[in-house]
Amino acid sequence: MSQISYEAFFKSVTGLDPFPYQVRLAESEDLPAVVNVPTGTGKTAAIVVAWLWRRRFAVGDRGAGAPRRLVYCLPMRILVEQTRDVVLGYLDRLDLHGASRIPVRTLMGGDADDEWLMHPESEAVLIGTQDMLLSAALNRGYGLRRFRWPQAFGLLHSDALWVFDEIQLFGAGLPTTAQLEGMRKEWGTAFPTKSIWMSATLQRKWLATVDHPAPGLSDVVTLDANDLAPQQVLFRRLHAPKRLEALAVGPAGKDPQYVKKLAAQIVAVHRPGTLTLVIVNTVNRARALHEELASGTADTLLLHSRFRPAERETLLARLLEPVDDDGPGRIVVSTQVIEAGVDISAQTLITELAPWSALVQRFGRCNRYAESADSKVYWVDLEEVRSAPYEQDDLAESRSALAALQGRSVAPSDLPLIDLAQPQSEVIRRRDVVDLFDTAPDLSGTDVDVSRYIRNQGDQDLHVFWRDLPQGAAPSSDIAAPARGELCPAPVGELRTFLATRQGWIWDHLSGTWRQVHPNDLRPGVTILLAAASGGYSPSRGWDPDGTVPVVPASQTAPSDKNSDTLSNPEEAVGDDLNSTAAWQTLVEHTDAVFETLNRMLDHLPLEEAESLRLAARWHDAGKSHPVFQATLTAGDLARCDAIWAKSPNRRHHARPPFRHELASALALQQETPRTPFLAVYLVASHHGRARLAIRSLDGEHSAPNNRRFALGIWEGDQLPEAELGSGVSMSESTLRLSAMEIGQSEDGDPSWTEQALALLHTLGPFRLAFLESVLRAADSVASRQGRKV
Amino acid sequence: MGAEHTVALPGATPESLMSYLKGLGTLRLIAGVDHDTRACWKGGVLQLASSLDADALERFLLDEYRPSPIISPWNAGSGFWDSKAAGKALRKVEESASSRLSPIRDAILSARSCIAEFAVTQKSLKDKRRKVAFLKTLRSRLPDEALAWLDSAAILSETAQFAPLLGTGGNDGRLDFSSNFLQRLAAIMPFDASSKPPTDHVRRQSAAWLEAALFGTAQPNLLPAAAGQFHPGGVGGPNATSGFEGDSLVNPWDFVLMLEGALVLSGASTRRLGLVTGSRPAFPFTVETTPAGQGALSDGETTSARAEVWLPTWPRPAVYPEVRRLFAEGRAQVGRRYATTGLDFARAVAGLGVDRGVDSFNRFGFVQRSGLNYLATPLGRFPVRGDPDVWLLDQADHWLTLLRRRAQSNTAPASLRSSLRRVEDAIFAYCGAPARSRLQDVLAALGRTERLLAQQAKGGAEHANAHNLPPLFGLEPAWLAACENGRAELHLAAAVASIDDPRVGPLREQLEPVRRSKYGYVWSDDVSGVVAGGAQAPRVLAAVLERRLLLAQRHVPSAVGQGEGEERRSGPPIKGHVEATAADVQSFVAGRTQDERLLDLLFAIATFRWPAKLQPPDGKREETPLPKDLNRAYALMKLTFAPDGVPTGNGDVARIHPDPAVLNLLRAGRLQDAVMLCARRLFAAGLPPLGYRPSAGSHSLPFQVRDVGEAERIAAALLIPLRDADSLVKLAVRSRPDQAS
Repeated sequence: MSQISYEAFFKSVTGLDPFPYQVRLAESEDLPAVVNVPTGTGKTAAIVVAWLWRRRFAVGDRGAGAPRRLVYCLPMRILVEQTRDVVLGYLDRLDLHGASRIPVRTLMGGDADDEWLMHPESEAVLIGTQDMLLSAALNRGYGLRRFRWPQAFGLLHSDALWVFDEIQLFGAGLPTTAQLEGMRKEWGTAFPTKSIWMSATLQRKWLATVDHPAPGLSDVVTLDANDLAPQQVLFRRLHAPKRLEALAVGPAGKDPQYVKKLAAQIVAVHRPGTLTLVIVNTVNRARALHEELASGTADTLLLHSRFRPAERETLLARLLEPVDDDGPGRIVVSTQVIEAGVDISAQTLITELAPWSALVQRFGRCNRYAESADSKVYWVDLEEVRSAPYEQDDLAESRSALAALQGRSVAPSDLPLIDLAQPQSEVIRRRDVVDLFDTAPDLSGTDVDVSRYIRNQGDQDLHVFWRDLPQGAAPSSDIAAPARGELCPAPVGELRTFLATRQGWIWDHLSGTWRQVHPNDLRPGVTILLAAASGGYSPSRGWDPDGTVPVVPASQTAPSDKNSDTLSNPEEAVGDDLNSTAAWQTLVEHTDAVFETLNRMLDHLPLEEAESLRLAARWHDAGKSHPVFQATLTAGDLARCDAIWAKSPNRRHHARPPFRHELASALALQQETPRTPFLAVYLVASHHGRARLAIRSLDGEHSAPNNRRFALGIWEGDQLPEAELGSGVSMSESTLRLSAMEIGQSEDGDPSWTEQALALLHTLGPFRLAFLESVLRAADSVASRQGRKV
Repeated sequence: MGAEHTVALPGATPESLMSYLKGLGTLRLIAGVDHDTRACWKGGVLQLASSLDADALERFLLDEYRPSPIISPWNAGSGFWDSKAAGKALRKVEESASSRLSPIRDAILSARSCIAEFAVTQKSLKDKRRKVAFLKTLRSRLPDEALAWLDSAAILSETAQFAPLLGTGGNDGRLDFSSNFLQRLAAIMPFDASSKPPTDHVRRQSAAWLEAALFGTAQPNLLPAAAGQFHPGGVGGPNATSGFEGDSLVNPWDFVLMLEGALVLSGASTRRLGLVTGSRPAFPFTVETTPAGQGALSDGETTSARAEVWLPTWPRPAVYPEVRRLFAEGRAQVGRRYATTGLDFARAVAGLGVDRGVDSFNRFGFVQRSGLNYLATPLGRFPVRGDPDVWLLDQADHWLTLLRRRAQSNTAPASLRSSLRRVEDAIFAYCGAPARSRLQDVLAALGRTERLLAQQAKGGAEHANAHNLPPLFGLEPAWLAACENGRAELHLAAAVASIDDPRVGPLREQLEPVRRSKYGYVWSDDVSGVVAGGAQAPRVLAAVLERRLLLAQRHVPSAVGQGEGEERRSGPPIKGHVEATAADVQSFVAGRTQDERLLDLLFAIATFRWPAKLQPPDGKREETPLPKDLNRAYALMKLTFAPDGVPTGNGDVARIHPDPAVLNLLRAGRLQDAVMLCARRLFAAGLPPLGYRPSAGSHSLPFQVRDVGEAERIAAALLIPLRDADSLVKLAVRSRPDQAS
């Protein structure tokens, strides 16, 4: 490709001329750590286009400077959808075809799309909520099957450019982002990673944590004189007039009439033919206010975060429709959900008192592009009893700032700089992240809850979906997994109350059934099944715990772009992969395919550990030669007993649940030659995410006869036959020993499994080790999928 | 470094909490200099294999050891808030220039800056919310090294939970562990800057203490100081020897190494953040007290107990990171959930719900003794065995939780409490040394409790249901094989308890006032179906038989046409899923069984989740020979109580209608009359009893009973489902048609 200037490139991608700061950002030697520019000045374009340019079009050092995956982390789903549309627009204009097309993946509440895990070697744009991305970065990915956690963890901590946008809304997640960046520096990653924090109201000190210093001034991009010159578009936007006035609703206090009075005032200041935006602080108030206003002449719309995607999209489309100049106009009642990033511009804005950073964002939704000379912003004071979900101190700070601005413009350029303290939250520590690398507790009954490091406790949502269920009976275990379109966020606390009088169901990964919800199950990140008859939702009001009208279940059509394992349930049940049914394929055929796929990946991923990965690929399914596994695959068909199979069309349970072939593979590899690097053995064992730092039996697993050791369906003394593993490698006949599952050194002086695994973790660090796990697993998945297509 | 030396530490044994923790502490410190250090428990003492021999190990601790930052600024007695002994000790560390103390100094500095920045005062710490907030700040900011102590002492969520091992947040009453740690350090290491070895006197004294602590050599002069809950032997109090009131004599190295060891017990984040259903987040290997299995303690002491810790020993030499992980996860699972009580823990140990390679657990309870002091009291050692049947206990889990809740309520009768205690003791005994007879003890104890509840429920079902303690239900028949000890009581109870019939329902309805509900059973108001009989097994069984015969008579066949045939075809409603052998029955008839045990087992087994339909008997089963001493009267009469009829020898099956009058006669001790009644019925059915002559009246079959009781036992035995009942024909009936008449 011929060399083009960044300005030209930017214009070709976005259709707009870049602002000076956008050019500075793209052309700087290192990408900055902080982008601190006002709302509405094109942060997304600044970063996404700069990344694209550095990946594909820049020449020299800068091209190598951008990590392969752009991980765009946002506080709310609505922003994820919007950012996705913007990025897709850029990529369409870039018109990359075929293999050079860059996939865009979104990770939003409850969505278990794991296609992005299959391509550690490819570029990708991942756009997700802080819940999805930070949970995955803590090895507890919401909505991901727990066996996939380490894979996502590996990919997110290697070769990733993390962008945190609108960080004023991150709450408890913010120190986590800084700590993780610090730990990546400390422990090292397989490929370089980098974090960029963006906000209009960002303070560098927010990013200072015990293991992460505040970024230096030189690491900050902000507007300078070039951007603010009067001839610049930005100048006009930053000076777009909007006059601040107080809306006297009276002493709100405990006044039950508050909503009625507020509604009357809104009607009074609304101007026909224009858009009025009302932002209140709680969903409950938004619902009540919307109900109050609905009887008026203006078109009214309610927007909050607790809708199912289909209804939300409809609402957003209506929101963005132009307002008929001659009509009664439109009144949109919204919660905070609208305050960051949603690209609308109201003539009149009414907002309840909020923390300063939120107010700055809200003001940005009024006369955004300086399209009106007569825009007004009204603020409504709140008494202490209504301060939730905010801290009273924060509101007091805003109150005095607003008082000083009364009657004046609140355009971005007119706002005072206020030193904002970041509220205290718990900071995740190194020992926590090291501990979280271990998923064994989660696979044997405990559920680890990382939500306190992801979002403030008060704002935590889980997801619910509705289905028509037979009354009084437990849902059948073959109920299809919820599609993204069915999921609605609901606050943990409200759902707890809701379920006090109704039943809810949760998928139990150990038993493979839906079981009735226990209050302790209700935590962020889980998905709960409700009976449609229970009510709790309406298309116009969204999640509505008081609603008793039966809910119409959303369409269950799953996204069609999923070639990956389609699952009948949100999480695989214990046991070997029932879902990897395929055409007949021998062990040699499959192993060769995985080996080749891995090699193709390694062409793009120069790794010191490549040889261990190759060895692991060669041996990863050797344990499938186990008689138990072969019996399952051949289903007793004697005609098939002439070969060792890796895949077959038979879909059955193993005679010895929860049999895991990869444990047999790993034990066989370790026994084959005493000098086998343990890394390869570990990678073999972990290639389904089930046997990692410890080898242990599962609850309900039948014990082996004669007091032999047993774990995951493998019994001490099991025999593996001699088997070809492809490319001239063969496994000799072996007798499996499980001595290593016990603590301490064996009688023969062999170290235990856990001792070796912990040493590996210590040497490589959690991020690098997990990345290596991800690569082998991706190669296996991709090759298996291709095998299925054949 | 290789492990060239193996050093046994006789001072580190699992017998007392302090000496156990001391061993862990030593391992932790030595592993800091030699990463390949391995430790295991052999012969009841800890063995360390490392590049250090005993001398080097001692030299390291005396001259190089850098104490871990153990500070508790959240506690009033931590030294951060006073200028008395604790304050002085803290200041002494801050002012010292010794590089060995720099980790502690860094932590103190960091804590002081948190205190200053958030304006924390001693007063503000009295507010629970602010104390939690301060703890969270510390956890967010303290140096990594100082987190182990905080995590060992507290788990933070909306509130703070404190590890029972470390009292209430690193202090026990007024005794602050961290401050005592600093004060003890002053006795064993120099605080000044000089890198020279300390003065000979101090070092010699310290070395003597260290040798006593590690190697169990004779104790030199000890220091008067407080050890708190860890060391019952050395705790002061009214009867303690020396004159320092409330204090005891302490070897400072014991205390220092013990706290270093306590750091190993800080839970992993996966554990701290884990959701433990229905209970507080647990610290590793720490559970709520269960009174059971604490033979040494009185009831009063167990109720005042704070918690239990179960500490593992392992025989294979393990490196520190692996040991650390063992503790960090503290795995002890009962089925899928974490153990939350001592009883759970015993089950986890017996059921392999613990990490493999641990060979035993030592149980300690924090028991309030001598006034207000809690003392770590050893409650026994539990070898890890792995019994394949332990999982059966899971089936009673939910019900036991309800029982426990009920027994702990104020209105619970004392009998229920002791009944629960009996169940828990039995479970403990079984888990401590799994054996079939012990599992049977558990089953019997459950049955005993169920008998008690049934008795109480007769006083009013509404009342019984209101207590949320439903009848026991849900144990699986797999218990029977797991409880098999060869004794007749089990076989007889199983056979009787397994009786079911589509016309009159399961047998348990004659034992207790219960009715089926959607998920199991509830107590029923209708007590009319329940037989009397009290604690007399023969009386109860006979009454049940009589009642079932009556119910079958009353049973109105659903469709008239079919009904008659059905009526004729079906025998008495006493067919069971399980059958006893004639030898078992004979034991009962002869009075050789323990009837109390039989009743307990009967009540327990009657609650089993039996299959909905009776299975036809296994055809391949070998016939059991009839015992030579089988009671002939019983053999004859049982033929008239055969649920499947009696084969006549020519391929037909004779259906004999049992006569309930037989039971009345037997109860009256009139065996002879009862036998004759049955003999006539058999004869009429074409099955002439041996030696029976219709003309000879009651003298043709002379039977005598030793006492009335025996006759009643025979009546009861008629109920028992009998294996190979057909073979009774050979014993009691003439093989071919009568030739004598």
